[in-house]
Amino acid sequence: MLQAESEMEFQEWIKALRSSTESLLVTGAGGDRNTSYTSLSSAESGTSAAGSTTESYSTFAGPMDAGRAAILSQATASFVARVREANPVCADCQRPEPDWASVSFGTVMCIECSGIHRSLGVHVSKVRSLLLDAWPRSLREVMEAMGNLRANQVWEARVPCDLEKPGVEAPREVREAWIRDKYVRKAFLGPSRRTEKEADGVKGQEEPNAVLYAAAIQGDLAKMGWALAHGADVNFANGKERRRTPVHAVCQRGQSLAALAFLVLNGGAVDVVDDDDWSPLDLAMNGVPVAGGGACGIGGAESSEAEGARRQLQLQQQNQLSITSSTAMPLVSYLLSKLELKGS
Amino acid sequence: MGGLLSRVLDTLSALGGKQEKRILMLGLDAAGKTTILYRLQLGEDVHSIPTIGFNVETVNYKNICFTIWDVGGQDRLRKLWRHYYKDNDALIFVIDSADRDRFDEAKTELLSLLSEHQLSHSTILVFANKADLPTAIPVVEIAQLLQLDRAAKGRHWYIQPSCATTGDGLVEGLDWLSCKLKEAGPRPPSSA
Repeated sequence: MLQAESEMEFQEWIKALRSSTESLLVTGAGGDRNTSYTSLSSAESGTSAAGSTTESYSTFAGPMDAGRAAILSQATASFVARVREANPVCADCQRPEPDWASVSFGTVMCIECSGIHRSLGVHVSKVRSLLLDAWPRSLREVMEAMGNLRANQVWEARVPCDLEKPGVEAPREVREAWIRDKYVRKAFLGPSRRTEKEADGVKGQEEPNAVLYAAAIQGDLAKMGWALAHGADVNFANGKERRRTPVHAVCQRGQSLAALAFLVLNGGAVDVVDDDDWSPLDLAMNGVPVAGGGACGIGGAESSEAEGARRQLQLQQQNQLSITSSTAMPLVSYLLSKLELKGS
Repeated sequence: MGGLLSRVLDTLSALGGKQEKRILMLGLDAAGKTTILYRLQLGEDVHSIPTIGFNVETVNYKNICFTIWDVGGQDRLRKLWRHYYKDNDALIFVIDSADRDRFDEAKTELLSLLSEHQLSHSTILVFANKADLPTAIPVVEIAQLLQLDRAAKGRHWYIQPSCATTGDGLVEGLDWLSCKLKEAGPRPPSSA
């Protein structure tokens, strides 16, 4: 057994071990964008003679996060490359080549700012590493649909002219003050009524809840981000739409996994029902085109019992049909994974 | 009375020399491991950044010298945890009580650690951290969900609510740990 003889030697050893582990992990994973994932595997085996590069990531795979098994996939590697290219600087302090993300806001940031985000708690910001975390499809799509530019158009819409955004050299206290002002105090938001252009098909000004609902149907993350930042209730039940929530709205349309995941990351509930007792899962599955069925047939004058019976029949039909080609399938499997988590 | 007894015991163990204990601290990323480590060592909130690799510090408490290893918890770093398993007296597992969405993921990691042969002699302390946040799962509920009476059968375990940024609960956890480790004496020599 190796033994450090003195406190100083002990500290030297720790320093050397730490720096070599970190450099293997970080430069190995991040040095070359194209080979980042393979280099981490070899870096890992380098830390131990017994380390095996053949050990599969699928050992971690469980029903709760199917994305984990695919961590080495080409999809994830090219996602990381695209996100880094689209977000060349930290969303909060402009430091170049940021490697961390807030999946709640869909932003990319540097490690120092990620530390500050983590200190705010997951109810404000959920932090992931681009290089050291798994990126299931739902999170990938959120990041790609949002990004620093769109997010900052909301969160930094109106920065007082006497206040300068922190730069690369800004000390921690300055960054922390900025981040708290930006996301917690919401001090830099623009006007709280959104003026729609006529081209959007919506005239005049709308309040955040209505904007969120409409944006959820459209799968427009930038607009959803605006609405949530301006205080829209993520679980607001729309009285004009049979008390459906924005999560219902996304699922009814059955198109945007990014929009669905974005709502859930921001507190959207998946186990809710509308006036007809339909859950988001029901709507997503009903949106799947099957013979004689479809989202268009929902609601109306039918009694709820007849409605329920018809729905049962439809769901039975769907279970027997192959529906894998549908655009709603990713939403269905995402909802199932979230519901399974709740039920367990 | 109890205080006197513990002082006597402390003095006795001091005569026998200071005990050294090796502690491994694990948990999901952003659970608060590094903040706990430096709160215990320095008594202050250090404003940590994510740990890539590990931190190690010694903390002296009640005549025990704890060497605490704090290893990064990001998904892909968890594959490296096993390199730290050997020769530990205790495992501190840190959970972010307020992160309901990832509670199951944390539980899965903890159960998997409990089944590790190299950790089979380790005493288990769980910090239900960030217990101060309004959305935190109450510790009673955490205990029910973890079912450690079954999963950690036959070993010492304890779940302590904590708030690493203020230090609340940390000393209580360390107190329990030092009692159990004093009872246990030196760890059995490892077979490997």
